[in-house]
Amino acid sequence: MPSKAESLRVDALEVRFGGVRAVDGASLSVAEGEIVALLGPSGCGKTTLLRTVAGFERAWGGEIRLGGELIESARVSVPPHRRDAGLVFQEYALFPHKTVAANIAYGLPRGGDRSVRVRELLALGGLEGFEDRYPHQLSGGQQQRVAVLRSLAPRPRVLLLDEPFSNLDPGLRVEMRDQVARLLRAEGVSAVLVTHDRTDAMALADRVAVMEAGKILQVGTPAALYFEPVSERVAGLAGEVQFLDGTVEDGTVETALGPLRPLGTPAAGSCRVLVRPEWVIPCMGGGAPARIVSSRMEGQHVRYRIRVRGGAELAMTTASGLPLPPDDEITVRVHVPVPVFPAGS
Amino acid sequence: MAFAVLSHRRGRRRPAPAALWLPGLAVVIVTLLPFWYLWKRSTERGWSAWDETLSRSATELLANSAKLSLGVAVICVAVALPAAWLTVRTDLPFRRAWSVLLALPLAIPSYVMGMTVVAALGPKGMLQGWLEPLGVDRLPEIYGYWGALLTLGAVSFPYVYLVLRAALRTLDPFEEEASRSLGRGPWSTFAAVSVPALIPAIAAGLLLVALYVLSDFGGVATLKYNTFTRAIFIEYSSSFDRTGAAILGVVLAGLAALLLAGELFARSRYQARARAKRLSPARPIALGRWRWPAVAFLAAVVAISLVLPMGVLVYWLVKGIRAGADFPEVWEPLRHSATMAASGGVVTVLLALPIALLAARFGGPLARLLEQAAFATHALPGLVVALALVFFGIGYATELYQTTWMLLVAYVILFLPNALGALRAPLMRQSPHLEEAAAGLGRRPLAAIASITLPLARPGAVAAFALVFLTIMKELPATLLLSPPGYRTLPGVVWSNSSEALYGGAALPALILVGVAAVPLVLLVWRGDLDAVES
Repeated sequence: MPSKAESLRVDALEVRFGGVRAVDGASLSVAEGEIVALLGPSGCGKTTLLRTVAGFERAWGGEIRLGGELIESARVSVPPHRRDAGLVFQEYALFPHKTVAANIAYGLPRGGDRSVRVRELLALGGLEGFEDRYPHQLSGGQQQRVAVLRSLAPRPRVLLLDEPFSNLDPGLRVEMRDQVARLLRAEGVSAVLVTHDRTDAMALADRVAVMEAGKILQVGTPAALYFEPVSERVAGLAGEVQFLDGTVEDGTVETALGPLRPLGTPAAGSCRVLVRPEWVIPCMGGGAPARIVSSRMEGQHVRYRIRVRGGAELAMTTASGLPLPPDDEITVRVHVPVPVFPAGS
Repeated sequence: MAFAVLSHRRGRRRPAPAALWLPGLAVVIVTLLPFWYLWKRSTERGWSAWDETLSRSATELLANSAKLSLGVAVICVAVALPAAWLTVRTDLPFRRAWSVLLALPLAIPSYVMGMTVVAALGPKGMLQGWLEPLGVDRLPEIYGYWGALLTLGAVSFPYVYLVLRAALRTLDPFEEEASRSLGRGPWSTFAAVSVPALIPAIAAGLLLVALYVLSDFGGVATLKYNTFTRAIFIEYSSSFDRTGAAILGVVLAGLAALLLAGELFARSRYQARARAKRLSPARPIALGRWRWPAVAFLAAVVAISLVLPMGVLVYWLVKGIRAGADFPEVWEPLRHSATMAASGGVVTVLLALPIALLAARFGGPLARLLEQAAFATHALPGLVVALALVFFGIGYATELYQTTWMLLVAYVILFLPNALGALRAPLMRQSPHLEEAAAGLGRRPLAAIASITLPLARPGAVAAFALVFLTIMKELPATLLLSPPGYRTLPGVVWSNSSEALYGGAALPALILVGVAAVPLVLLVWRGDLDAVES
C-alpha cells in the first residue's frame, strides 16, 4: 500500500437496477497519483461502480469519498459537474461539433491560460497540428488520446476510464496502453480503469481490483494477483489456470508433479494446487517425469500437453523455440511457490 | 449500443431540472385545457342532447367516414408501397428526382386539390368542355364519394410513402442477402423477407391515413361529402345552438384517439426493429425490362397528384388574366399567412424542446406522461381544436378570443406533436454520454444541454420548424374559425373564392400558397430530413 494520501475511497457501495444488485458492497481505495484497474467479466458491475463514482448512477448504500469529501451515499449525491471526476468513455463521446482544441478546452475555466493548457496537453499527447481537426477526421487512437486529454485538462481529482482500449485494434492497443500510461503518470493523476482484459489491467495499473457479481474479490499488485491469488476464481480472472489435486504434509504439498513448495503455510490435508502453464519448466533432472503428448509453436511461446505420473494431462508453455516432438520423455519442475486452495472449493 | 441498454436499466434517477419541467408541464396543460372545456360544453344540455344529435346523424357520418378512410387507405398503400420500394431499393432512373416529386403533393392543401378536381372533372368542368364537341353532355357525378376519394387519395398517399420509405431504409440487407444465399431469387426474397418486415409500417401508414381522412375538413367540404368534419362545420355555422357541434366534435376526437393509439402501437413495432440496427443500404435491385413500366406508373401518380392540380390552377390563372378578371388582393393575406406560419413555427419548436429533452434524456413515468399527453393532441382534428378554442375563448378568454394570439395557440396545440416527432429523432440518436462527458467536465445540466445537446439537435429543430411552417401555411379549419375579423389569410381567400366557385379568383392565391408551402418541403427533401415529415 503506497504511503501517500488517499484520493478516492469507496466503502461498501451498493447500486441496484430494479431488483438486481449491480454493485453489492464493494470497497476500494485509491491513493494520490495511483492507477487502479477494476478487472472483471462483463456484467460484473465494474462500469456501474465507475459511473457511480462519476455521479451518473445513484448509490443505494455505502459511500464514496473523494479527497475526503463525501460525494455519494444513499442520502448525499453531489451532482456530476461538481465532483471534479473526469470520465473517459468507452466510445470516447467526443463532441462532434467541436474541434480537437475546443474539445480539450471544454472543461477549462474561461479566460486566462486556457490556450496555454490546451497547447501543453496537445504536446503531451503528440497531437500538435491536429487542434483544428474535428473528431471524425481523426483515427481511433487519436480520438482516444483526445478523450483522455479532454478529461485531464481541468486537472480532475480522479480520472475514470471505462474500457478505454476495447475499441482499438490489437496492435494499436498495446501502443495506446503505453501512451495513456505515460499521459497519466506525466499528469500525476489518480485513476481508476475499468477493463475486462487482464493484460490491459496489469500493464497499466499499480494495483488491480478483481471484481465479480458486484463484489471485489481481491485488490493487489499485478504480481500479487498472479502469483498469490486468494481464490481459484481470482486466479482464473488474473491468468490462465490449471489445478492439480494434492495433499499438504510437513510444509510441502504432494502432487502428480512430485512434492511442491506451497505458498504460505496451508493447513494439512487434501487440497487443490494452482499450476499456471508457464510455471512448469523442463529441467535436466531432479524433477518429475513426464511424456509429451502434443506440442505447438504459438509465436511467443511453445505450448505443450504433457502426461505426468498417474496419467493426468497438463499444459506447459515455454519460451519460443523449436518444439520437442511428441512422445519425448522429459523431466519437469515448478519454479515458483504454488498457491494452495481447499479441496472442493 | 451500450447507451441504449443503460438508459433502460436505470436505477435511482437524478431529477430533471425545473427549467425543463415547468415549461413542459405548462404547455401540456394549456393544450389540454380547451378539450376539457369542449367536453363540458357538449354535456351542458344533458345526455338528451347527445341522444338527439347522435340519432340524427351519427350512423350516416360514421359509415361515410369509414368508407372514405378505407378507400383512401387502399389507394395509398397501392400507390405508396411500389413507389417507396422503387425509389429506395431499385436502380430506377432519376431516383432522387422521383423521391422529391412523390413527396411534393404534401405542399398542396386538400381543399386546393378538391377545388382543382371539381374544376377539371366536375359539371361544366374542363374535361366536359373538351368532350362536349364529341357529344358527351354528362360526366359521372364528381361531388360525393368518388371525388372525395380521388382528392384525399392524391394528397395523403405521400404520408404513407414517407413512412414506408423510412421503414424500407431500416430493413437489414443482411437478412435479404441471407435469403439470396439460401437460393431465393430477388422477388421471392422481397415477398418472403421484406414484405413481412414491412407489415407494421404498412399498418402504421394506413392508420395515419385514416386519421388524416377523419380530420380533413377542406377536401370533404369542397367535394360535398358528408363526414364528421363537414357536419360539425355545418352544425357550427348554421344553427344557433352549438351544442350539436360540440357533441360531434367530442365523438370525432374519440374516434381519432382510437386510430392514434393503433398507429402508435404499430409504429412502436417497426421502430423497435429499426433501432436494432442501422446498416449501409443494400445494392440497388436491377429493374431490367420493368424499368419503363415502373417509370410510367410513377409518372401517372405524379400526373394526378401534382400536374393535374398545378395545371388547372395555371389554366385558370391564364384564363383569368386573358379575361381581365379582378384578382383578389393577395399580398396582405400572404404576409399574414407567412407571419403566422413563421411565428407559429418558432413558438411551437421552442415549446416542444423542453418536452422532447425531458422524454429523450431524463425519462421516468412523468416525462413519458408529458410526452404522451403532448402527442395525444395529434388525434385532434383541426376543426375540433378550433371549435374547442372558440368555446373556450367565448367562455373564459374573451380578451384572447378573435386575436392572432388565439390563432397561434391553436397552431401550437395542433402541431406540437409534429415538432416533437421531428425533434425526438436526432435527440434519441445522440449518445447521452456526450452530456455526461460535459457534466464530468464541470458543466451544470442546463449548460451541458446548451453547449452540446442543442447545437447537435439543430438539424432536427430546423426540420421541425420547416414542417410546422408548411403545415400552418396549409391549415384551413382553425384559420377559418379563429382568425380575427378582417384578418385575411391565404387559405381563407382560397376558401372563400372556391366556395363561391370563383375558381379564377382562387387560382392566384392557391398557387402562391402552394409555392410558399413547397419551400420548406423542398428544403426538408434536400437535406434528407424527409423522413421526419412522417410524424
